[in-house]
Formats: sequence, structure tokens, C-alpha cells
Amino acid sequence: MDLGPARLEEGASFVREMHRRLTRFDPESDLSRFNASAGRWVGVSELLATLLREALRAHEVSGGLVNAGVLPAMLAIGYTRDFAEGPTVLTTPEPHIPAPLPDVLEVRGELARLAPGAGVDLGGIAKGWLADRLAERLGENALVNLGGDLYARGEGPDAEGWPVGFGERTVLLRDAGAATSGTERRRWGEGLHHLIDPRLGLPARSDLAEVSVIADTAADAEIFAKTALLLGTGRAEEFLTGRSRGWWMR
Amino acid sequence: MTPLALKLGATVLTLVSLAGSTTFVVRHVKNAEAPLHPSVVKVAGEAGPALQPRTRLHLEPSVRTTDQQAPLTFTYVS
Repeated sequence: MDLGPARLEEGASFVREMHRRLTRFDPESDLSRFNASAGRWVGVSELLATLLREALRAHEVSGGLVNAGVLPAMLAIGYTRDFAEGPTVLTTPEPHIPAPLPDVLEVRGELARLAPGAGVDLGGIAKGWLADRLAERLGENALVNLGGDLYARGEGPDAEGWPVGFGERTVLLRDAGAATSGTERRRWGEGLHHLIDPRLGLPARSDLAEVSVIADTAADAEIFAKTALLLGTGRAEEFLTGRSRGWWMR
Repeated sequence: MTPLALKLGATVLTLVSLAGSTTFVVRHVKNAEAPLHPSVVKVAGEAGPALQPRTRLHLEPSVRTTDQQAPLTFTYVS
């Protein structure tokens, strides 16, 4: 609230800088250079080390369903470039089942190692984490939304919480994150979309099309939403109970 | 000859019509056991399997909702 233009521009600049360093679509980014070094220990930036550890945490929390090591599977189904550059190439998907992330990724301080042939896509993990960090930078009362992953910090405009659209309702969030995972966006063919199920090594075939979650942080909300979507209707609610503050699914 | 021909033609037409009607009725016998209305498949108010809602929403008590304020933003798939 009441953030001046300079402060907002500072926040936007922070996001652009993070994107530049963490995107897999730029061969010069921290992430791309790390992926290119697979097979040996290399020094990584503090930022990348933190996010690689976050990816390992996401893997553990999700029981292996949120696996940042799905990059080879993403490339195999044709997701080879940023969607902003137009539709990706239509391919016949070949399954690439990734190994459990802790088996192919090690992080020690600011040293890290990927197993040969492995690759990491930080995708939603970075988005949720960044929403949390940006909200911290913007002060005690701020609402951040990075492509649907959001964090509401403080009491909001009327001291009742920040009004946020959640499913078909408006909720008042205070010191909480929210995120949505789904299979209906970023599609480029029948059964071809960006959300990989690491059990299949292929785009997910869940009976859920979309899951939104409220959690303590945007990072957690992102992990929980993706996990619930991959689990499907049978087990999603059981997984979310006790972890999240709320959910909406269809 | 003409009156006789007319009478003969009228008689033949009558017989043909009678034969045709008889054949039609014989082939379309009414089923006396047929119900007058479709059978009732469900009595109003009778308990049945609940329909699955298309969407599901769950909010912990700590999350309040509002109908008074428009959302400033929303969560979505990107």
C-alpha cells in the first residue's frame, strides 16, 4: 500500500533480474550454465543454490511429484522455447521418467552437481519463491502477484486482509500465499501441455483440470497445488488437509 | 353397360378397401398389456446417489470471504 512509483519499479527490476538469471530459455542464465555443467561439481550463485535447495524441499514435501528434474521430459515433448515466442513444435511424446531429484542433484553450500544427462527446470518453484521474496522487499503491507502465484502481506487496504479472487469466491488474505496449477494453459496439441507427471515422464493425465491452494507462503501453495493436481480427485483432498488453508479444484 | 360398369367398379373398390383395412388392423393389434405412461423411475424426494459437484471449495475457518469487496487480483494458471 502507498508504494511510490520508484519502489514499484525497484520491485519490477528485481523480478526482471531474477528471471534473467533463472530462465532456462537463455543459455547465459545461471540455471542454463548449471544445466550445461551436468556431471561435475561447480560453483553456483547464492541465489541458484537457494533455489536448488528449494527444489529439493519441494520434491520431499510432494513425495516426489514436484520434481524439478523433469527438464529432459519437457524438451522431449517439444517444450523447448518460451511460450511468448509462439507455439512450441508439435512432437510425438516419448516418456522420460526422471530419477528422484536427490539422486541427481546435490547442493553443498554454493557448490552443486547434477548427474550426467540430468537437467533442472525451476519453473513454478521459482515463481512462488520469488513472490514471497518480493513481498518481503515491498514492506509490511503489500500484495504481490507473479503470474498467478501471489503473496498477501499485512492487513490489506481496509485492515481486513487483501481481497483476492480464489476459484469462484473472493477471499481476504493476510500473510498468506496462493497459487494455481492446471493443465488447460500452455497446451500445443492433444495431451501436450507443460505439466509433467514424473511418474509417467509425460504430460499429466489427471482427472483434475485446475487446483488453487492457499498456504502459508506462495512457494508452499505452488508445491501443494501441483501435487494435488497430479494426485487427482481421489487423493488430493487428503493431501491438502492439514497442509493448506484452503483449496478450490475442478 | 356404363351403369353396370360403374356398379362393378364401385363394388371392386369397396372390396379392396375392406381387404386393405382388415390387413392393416390385423398387423397393428393393440397390446392390451401396454402401459399407458412410462414407468416411474424415481419418486420425488426419494434418496439417491448424490451428484458430484463440478467444483469443490474448502476454506479453513481462518480464511474469510467477502461479497462486499471486489478482488484486487486473483490466482490463476499461467
